[in-house]
Amino acid sequence: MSNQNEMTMLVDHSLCIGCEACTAVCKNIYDSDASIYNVTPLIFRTKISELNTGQYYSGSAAGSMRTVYKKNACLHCTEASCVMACPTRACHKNEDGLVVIDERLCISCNYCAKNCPYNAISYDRPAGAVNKCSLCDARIDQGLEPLCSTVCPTKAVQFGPRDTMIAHASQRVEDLKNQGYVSANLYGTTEFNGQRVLMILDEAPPAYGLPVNPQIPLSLRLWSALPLRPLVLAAVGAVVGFNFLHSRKYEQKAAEVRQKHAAAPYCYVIPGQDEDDDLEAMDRERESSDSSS
Amino acid sequence: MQSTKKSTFEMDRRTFLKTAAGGSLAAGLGLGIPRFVHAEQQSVIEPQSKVVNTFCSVCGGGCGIRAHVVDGRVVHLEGNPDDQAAEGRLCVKAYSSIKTLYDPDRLKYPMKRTNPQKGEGVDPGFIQISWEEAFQLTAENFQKAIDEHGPESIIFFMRGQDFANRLRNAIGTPNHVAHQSTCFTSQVASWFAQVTGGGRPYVYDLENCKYIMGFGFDGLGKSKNMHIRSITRALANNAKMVILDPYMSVTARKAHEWIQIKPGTDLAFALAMIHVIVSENLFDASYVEDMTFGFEYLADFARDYTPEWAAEITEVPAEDIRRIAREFATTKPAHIFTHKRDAAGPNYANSTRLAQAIVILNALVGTIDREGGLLLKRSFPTPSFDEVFPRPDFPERRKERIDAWEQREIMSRFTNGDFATVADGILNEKPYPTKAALVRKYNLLAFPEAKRMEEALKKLDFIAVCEIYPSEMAMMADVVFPEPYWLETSGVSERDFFSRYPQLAVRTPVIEPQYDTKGFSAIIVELAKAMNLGHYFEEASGGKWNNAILEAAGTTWDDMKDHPTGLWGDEKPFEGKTSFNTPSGKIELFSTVMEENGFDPLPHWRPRREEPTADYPFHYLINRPPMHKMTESQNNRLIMALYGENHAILNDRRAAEMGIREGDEVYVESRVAKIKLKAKLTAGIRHDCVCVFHGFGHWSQGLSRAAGIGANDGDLIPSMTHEEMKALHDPGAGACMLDFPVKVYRA
Repeated sequence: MSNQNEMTMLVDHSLCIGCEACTAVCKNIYDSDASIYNVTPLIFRTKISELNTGQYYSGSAAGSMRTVYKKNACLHCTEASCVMACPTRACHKNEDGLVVIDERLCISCNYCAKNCPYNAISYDRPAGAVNKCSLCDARIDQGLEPLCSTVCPTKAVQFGPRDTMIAHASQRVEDLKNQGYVSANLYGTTEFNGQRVLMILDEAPPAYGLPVNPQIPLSLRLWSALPLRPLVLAAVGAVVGFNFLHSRKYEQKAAEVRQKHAAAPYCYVIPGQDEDDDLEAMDRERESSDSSS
Repeated sequence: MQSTKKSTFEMDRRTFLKTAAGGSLAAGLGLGIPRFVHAEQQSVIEPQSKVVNTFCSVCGGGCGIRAHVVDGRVVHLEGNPDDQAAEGRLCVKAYSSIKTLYDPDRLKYPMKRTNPQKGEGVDPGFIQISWEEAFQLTAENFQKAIDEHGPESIIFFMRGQDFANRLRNAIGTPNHVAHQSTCFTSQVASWFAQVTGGGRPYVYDLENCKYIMGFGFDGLGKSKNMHIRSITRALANNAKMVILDPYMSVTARKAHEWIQIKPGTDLAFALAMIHVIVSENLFDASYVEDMTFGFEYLADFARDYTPEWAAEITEVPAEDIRRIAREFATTKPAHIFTHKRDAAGPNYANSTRLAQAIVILNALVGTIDREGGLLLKRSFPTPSFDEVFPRPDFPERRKERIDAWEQREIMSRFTNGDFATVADGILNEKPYPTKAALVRKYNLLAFPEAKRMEEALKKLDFIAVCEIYPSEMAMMADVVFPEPYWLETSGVSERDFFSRYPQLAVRTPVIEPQYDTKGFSAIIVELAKAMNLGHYFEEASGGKWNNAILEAAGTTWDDMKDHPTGLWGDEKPFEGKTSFNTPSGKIELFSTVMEENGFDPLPHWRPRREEPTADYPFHYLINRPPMHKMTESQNNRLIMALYGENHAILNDRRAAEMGIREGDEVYVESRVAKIKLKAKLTAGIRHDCVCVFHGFGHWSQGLSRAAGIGANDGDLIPSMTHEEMKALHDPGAGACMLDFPVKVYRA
């Protein structure tokens, strides 16, 4: 069970308006395209999604579908599937109990991402590593709040001592129930032994795409418990070796792509998105121009 | 402690730079060290950054900003915690504006056109010129127009701005055309007549409100910082929110009740509410007695506007109307919030009447300039431009205008002009030919019936455009004056959208201008000199005007430029006003000003202009995504990653009947144009409506990210002739932005 005094994030989805202010700030700071202007599409540490679900409870729209907003980001489970899945300890718990990635150890096997029940880990292909919300651990180290909770204009995202957050959330859930949101609930206090990101929901968890009473599968527990490390390291060696050889080929092509983008730096194809696709396109182009000439 | 932290951090950063350098080397060798290795350290912004005070100019709200600069680059914008408008937060548009600042597509130097052909798809053949040549060329062409056709042959397209207003008057043209008739003139007219004797306020105190109602107002979807804060605080305080909207807007999504009212009938709903509140004596008797004029007319006026009558028109059950009216009147405080392009914006022929009815309803429950309601702006006295910069007399100028604005009895008091009728004036030379234009920032796509406006602009001999982007308007220009982005400028703002007490914000340049740009005031002064009108601007400069504004508030630029918070003005307790700037000194439920100007003093029912027909069976709705700012943000890569394209939003069942699937290309066609869009299906829209989001459909090849994406909603809006506008006889002189039907079919 989580320590009650651990600093915890609370996301009140009844107040989230889907404006993506949190997403924008996160991309300004954490985008893997380090240039000041470009944006790496599709890779977000946090992102809002719209879900069509639930019902209006009164008025002429009563019973009709409503749309809710869900902030998708790592929930920092106490018993974390991703940490169990990671063969190299790249995905690990830091001293504060937050789930973070050490990119230098990541072999991009994606096993953490596949095991995350919340799809909160994405594979940043150009960076050659997985990427996920760290709850701004470097900021927490310095006694600062994560960026999300400092920038949310509706204060749907808050950050504070766990007991304060839970007390506030319990009151809010009661209020929502009294307003007619009969399925209102607080998610994350017990799931995977407690999560560092708690969520107030004004509909039942499935309406927000969240599993009810989720469990870690036995296979993952076995994988995590068995003394597989030597085997795994051997496998890692093989993967790194392959990666090295593959990258030598990749390097030359990547240079060509960069050159191409230097010539037309703001064209549609974004080098960060999936360079292999881009390289294939270049190959095709080269072939077609060869054949035409 | 702080310094220790800092030095540790700097060491960390150096280490990190080494790591990053090593990382790139390693990456070069194929070891795959990721590029975001630096980001975790970047997230701890404060210790390494220089903080500069500024305020936001994405919208008129002017939120105070602490801009964080590292190595000469703006890395983060933080809401100023001491600012009443920002309260330490900003909106998504402000946070994303860093990408606009560094957008390589921005205009970088003055340019002139070499290709005499103009229009969509035509390369203007811009070449770089000196500022001197740009001013000279513009002055020569303006002078030629003045010599041959008189000063009225020059049109100013821009928001009112003191320097530009003076140049316009010095030239002697009456033609100044701004966007307000497409945005909020209906509300300006009603507030002017009934409450303020001036413009309308935008300050909502909803966090103290218990019952919020909106006629199509998407306050949350517009994502203005202070509005979303105020509304969501009300929700957090357990206020009830009821939204009438044919489309499930963001606000409707967060509302407790979403009423799918028939478009253009909100007035009937409001009239029935007045009927219920007056006939059942549910109004706030003391507020009505002390603060309002003309209550005695209401009983007769509203007698026939029963909920049953309104139910026929609005397609909302009478019992819901009656219940909501009672809840609204008995839950205190309650307020109908209204802002710009909601149902009371200039969308329908009856919108100004709806704006009048909303003033009446808010007065009946006592929340005009009371806590929990709409507050009139509290601001410092503003200096007079003429006193600060004395001037010679202006020349006489013609009264008749190219947009016939002088014929609008009430609205002509405001120097707005009319986007809707100007194309008719230019194309048909009503009442005289026009030859040249000076444009600032307005995009061609923002005009109703943009294609016709394009034709009108082609008819002009010379267009000069002040812009930051190669917009569609810039593509029509003969000379382009590049302006700096607001993060590169100085300024003062009294903030329009939140001012419970007077508080000015000061802006200093966050970074030096990156390109060869000039501020707008400086452009105007230089242009005046080139036109031999420099004597109107002796000693005048933007910097001195900023200082004059601050002096009127009791401080100076020198005292404020390095001020720790960049804010001037202390919190004062709120006191509700007890008199209003109307002939009776009270809020006029029965408007004597409307009556004097030949309009209905009470908002009697009037239907919309054009109902759907067999040929055009759909109502047309326009909304905006929260991340975008009108037509200005579609080249911003971050914003486009969040919201990349607009769609034709259709009811899922209706679409199925029509054989339209999600993502199918469809045409949306009005009587003046058609646009092609991908269909997006939802249960969250009435079966007889199609909704298109604004801001897309750019065609300027200078906008590498925005060009060719989506379609322009405004192409479909019929512009109006001078005569049609006169026949509409609407005190708000609205452009009827939604008052026409459309058809939808597979492409």
